[in-house]
Amino acid sequence: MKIIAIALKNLWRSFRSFFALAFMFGVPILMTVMFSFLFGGIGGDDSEFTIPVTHVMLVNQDRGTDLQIGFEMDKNTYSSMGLMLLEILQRDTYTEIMTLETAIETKARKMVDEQQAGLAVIIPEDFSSALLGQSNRTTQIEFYKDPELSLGPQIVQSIVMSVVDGFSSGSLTMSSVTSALQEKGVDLNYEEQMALIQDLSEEMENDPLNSGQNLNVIPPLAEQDAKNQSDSLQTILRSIMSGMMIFYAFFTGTAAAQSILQEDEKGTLPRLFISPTTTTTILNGKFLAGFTMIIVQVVVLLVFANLVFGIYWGATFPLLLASIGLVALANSFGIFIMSLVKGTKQAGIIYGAVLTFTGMLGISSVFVMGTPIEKAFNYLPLLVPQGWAMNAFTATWKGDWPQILIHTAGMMLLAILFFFLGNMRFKKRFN
Amino acid sequence: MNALAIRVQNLDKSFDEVHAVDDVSFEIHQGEIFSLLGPNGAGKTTTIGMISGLLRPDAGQAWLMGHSILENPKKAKAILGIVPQEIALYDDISARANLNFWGKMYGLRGQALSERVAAVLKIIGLEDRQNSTVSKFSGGMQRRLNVGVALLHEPHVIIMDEPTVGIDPQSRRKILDSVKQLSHQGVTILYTTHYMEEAQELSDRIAIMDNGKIIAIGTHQELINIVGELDRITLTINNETTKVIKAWKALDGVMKITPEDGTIHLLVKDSNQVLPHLFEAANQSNVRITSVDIQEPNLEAVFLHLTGRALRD
Repeated sequence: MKIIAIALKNLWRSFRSFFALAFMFGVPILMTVMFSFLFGGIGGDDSEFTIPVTHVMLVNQDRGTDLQIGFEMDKNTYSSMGLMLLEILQRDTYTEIMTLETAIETKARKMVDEQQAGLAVIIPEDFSSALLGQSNRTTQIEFYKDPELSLGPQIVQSIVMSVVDGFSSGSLTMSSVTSALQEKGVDLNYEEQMALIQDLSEEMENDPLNSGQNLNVIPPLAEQDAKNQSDSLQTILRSIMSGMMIFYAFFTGTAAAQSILQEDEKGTLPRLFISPTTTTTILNGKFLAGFTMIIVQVVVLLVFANLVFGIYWGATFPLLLASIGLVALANSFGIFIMSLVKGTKQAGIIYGAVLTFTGMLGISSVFVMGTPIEKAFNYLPLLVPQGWAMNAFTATWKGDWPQILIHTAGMMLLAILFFFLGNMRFKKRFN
Repeated sequence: MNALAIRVQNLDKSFDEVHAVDDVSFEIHQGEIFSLLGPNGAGKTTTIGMISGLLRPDAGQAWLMGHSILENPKKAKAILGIVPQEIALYDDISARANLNFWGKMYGLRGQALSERVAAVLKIIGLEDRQNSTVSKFSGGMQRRLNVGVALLHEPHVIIMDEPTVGIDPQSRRKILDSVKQLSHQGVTILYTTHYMEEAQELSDRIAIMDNGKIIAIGTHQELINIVGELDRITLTINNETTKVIKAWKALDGVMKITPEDGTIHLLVKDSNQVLPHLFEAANQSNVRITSVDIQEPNLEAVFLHLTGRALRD
């Protein structure tokens, strides 16, 4: 009962402290909100996901092919693939993502330079002929972007690429089909080839999923691109939220353990020692308070992130394992760190240096996501306890059971080790 | 004679090079108010630290109501209430919350706890401020609450370590009155102070401590008898010279002289007889006496007599 009374008193005092609450909940949430705005908005499921509208300048320099053929789509005929691309991008499907304006190259670049447009798509002269194999040269569409914008231009670029990939895949398929037929002695003339392309194109339009399966064409659907972007935003936010939660959970653990030193200096700890309460009871009450505080912090942050950012943390049981591991490790690491210092003045330096260094290293995988050194940061963070927690949470949302078990077991072992050492040092000091 | 409430035997404690408590022994009977009187650094707090179980003695032993603090600390601590020198309270919660918490640490629960908290709030006069955060209290109110915590579990023995340091006269009076009231209820009190007047007013017996040792022990009268009927004269002079000190030492009736930064403490047989000669010697040495204070024999004089230093040094 005395353990609970000590823990409750500590909890009551902590939850009345603005500073403690800010560090436990405010800062991690604020950081994630900031990142979510940076990456383009807050959204949970697809319906809530909002993508910034990008003004796109389209420069169509495509001269069509030497064959003087027309490309038919939705019963309309186009003299070049460039015009066809323009038509596709002008569809209602994309109006929530982009506004399109055609222009000559110099004007398009100027508009981007002056930040009146987010992206210029410059279609080269030999676009159609290259797609139809009429030119031996490789050709490419140029994307001229406003470097200050990230998400909007990326989405538009992704859409354009998927349409072009569709064209390209159709062309390759056509080439393969023609070669195969030729081997069997069937020669298709240009009209027949064009008719086949037309059929393929229509099938892509009408049944993009199946045509994609058959022809390995990426369907140019805005919804899918939006979902991909949503997924990547989810991954970013989830990583940041996990990182922040882990980083500050360790701060909470250390702050809770620091209360032992604070009470020693304020005289309340010696007063507790001269009451008929054992040293073990007093210390355990304090450890229980720290444990409970981190549980509350982790649960609140997990639920908040799920409700507000729509973050999916993974299946319940592995999430529970990772969370228990985090709570135990953050608490025991705090006890261990505080058992090494003599007073609260030293503890301040510990806060500043040790926790920031180990915390940043532990969650460094968040900051190197998508960079060439990403793989190295799968293991380097394991040098510090925060790294084990980060890997456990990453494994949880990936549903990687072996990694979940390995990292949770690692966290629990470290927690036991730190608790044992910290508890031993505190008891030695106060007995 | 009542049974022993506190028995201290050959307590000894050193911190690095400092011999803080040097072979201290005394006994306190049940219901007695016993004061440890001595200047700052005399070893009073270290002595009660060992009696209360906070510090482990290098040698010696202490018993509370027959329970050894080393061998049976839980039982010994359960009958002991302690008022530490520093205010040891949680200043970010209310007075009531503090009392509730500390009551639980002494094993109080439920109705008994509520009743004791209410009773203590009444004793320390903080009923109307019980829900205020302690940090908003004045120094005196915090001191009173500091005392209140020690009373919660109705201990048989209370140790008070300089409980009136730095507080207003009103709060000081309240604390002194509550000490007397507790004594009337049969509670044994070990009271440490460097205020001679407090020890004189409260104590049944007094132990004078200096440099970790008990240099005298007894009732107020017994201690006064050590210096006999000597008066204490304190002179302030404008120019301290060895010449005048020598001249004063040579006078009949001057038993002891202690110069100290322009203030001279003298123990004399009869102040009325000696005083004119003191002025005369000062004149001859071109020294001007700017103030004179004459005191009847008291604990200050005892301390001066025993140590050669003033108690408030």
